Amino acid sequence: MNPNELNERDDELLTLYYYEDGLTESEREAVATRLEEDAAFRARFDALSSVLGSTGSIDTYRTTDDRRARFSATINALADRDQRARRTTAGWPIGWIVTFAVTASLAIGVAIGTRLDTSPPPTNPGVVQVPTDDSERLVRRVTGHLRDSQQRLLESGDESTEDRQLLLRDIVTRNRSFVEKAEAQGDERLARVLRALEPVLLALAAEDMLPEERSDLSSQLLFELNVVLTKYGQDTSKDATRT
Amino acid sequence: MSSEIPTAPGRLEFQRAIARRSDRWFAACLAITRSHDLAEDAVQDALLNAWNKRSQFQNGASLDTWIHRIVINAALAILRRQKPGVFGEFMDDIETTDASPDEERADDELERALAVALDRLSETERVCFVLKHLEQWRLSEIAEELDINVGRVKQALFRGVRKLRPNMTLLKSEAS
Repeated sequence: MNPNELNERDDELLTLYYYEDGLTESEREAVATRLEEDAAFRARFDALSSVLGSTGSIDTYRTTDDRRARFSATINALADRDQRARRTTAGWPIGWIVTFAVTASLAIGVAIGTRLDTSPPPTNPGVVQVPTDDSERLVRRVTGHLRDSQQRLLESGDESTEDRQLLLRDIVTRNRSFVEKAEAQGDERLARVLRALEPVLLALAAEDMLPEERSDLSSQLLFELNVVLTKYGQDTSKDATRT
Repeated sequence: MSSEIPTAPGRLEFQRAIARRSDRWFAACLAITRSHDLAEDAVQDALLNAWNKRSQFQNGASLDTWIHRIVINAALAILRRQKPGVFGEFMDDIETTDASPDEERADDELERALAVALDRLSETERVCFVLKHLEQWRLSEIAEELDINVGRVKQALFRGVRKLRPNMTLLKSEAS
């Protein structure tokens, strides 16, 4: 009998037999017996084994040195991040951190409000005010981004680790896009403060973090957001005074 | 009496693992995603996860192998994000038509043939074949990971092998 004339069911049995998986003990014994007694069945199995055996490795593929360097850089960045976080947060009492986090949240709300209040009120309700200046438009968008990030982080307490990581990755991505926009507009200071947020965002994505460590880092993030927004509020007030 | 305090692997251990095994991690992700960019993303995601979870690593186990498993899961997660529900149904007639990313990188004829052949499989067939044949997962593990039943994994594997076989047989006969 030509091995090619064997049916699909035989091929399936032989495939599972080859992988030593997916057959019951009695099915395995039946295949083994048939392999001894049926030459065509045996030839089919040998052909299958030969083909699958030749596809047994993908170890010969090589990544590029650039790519390997990027993998290496990721680990260095994560290790550095953890070192920085440990240095920054060492010795903060937990109770104070919680209090501080709440205070900072409120301060951010005030700062955002201050910043947003510096824009002229709408002259006609229902008509969207278009910022007259690219820089102001960017600042408004950044404050929106920070406020949104803050809200999403505060709401993420009960989310799974995977969801929280997705959320943080999304916030980091948006943060980076604002860094690029700030750089494109020559606002290096805004770019710098936004860049400074990223290590804390990445640190918050850590899965093995104790609740108190997370609270600690959240406080740090809220503090940094607070600094950014307060400073922008002050600068806007000065600008308004000058003009 | 001395007691060894278990410590999580650190920067040095991770860097050594990257030097030893990043080719293998990348290749596995490439086989699953069929995209150099996505494969790199998968390895990067996995390194981030592995680093963050490193306190869970059991001393005495192989760090390379532990990361490898995380890498595979990251590649599958990316595939799911790219194509939600991709493993939920067979896409018998849908084959990847893009040029294979690793055909030209393969070191020998058989590897190149495998790369070409993998492109002829549907996503489910390819992933089941890669996880079973190249990664040597149990069928039940694959089913659990892809959230499909074992019977479906078997069918995808059979179909994958059936599609791969003519290519590989032809090449082997030409080579011999």
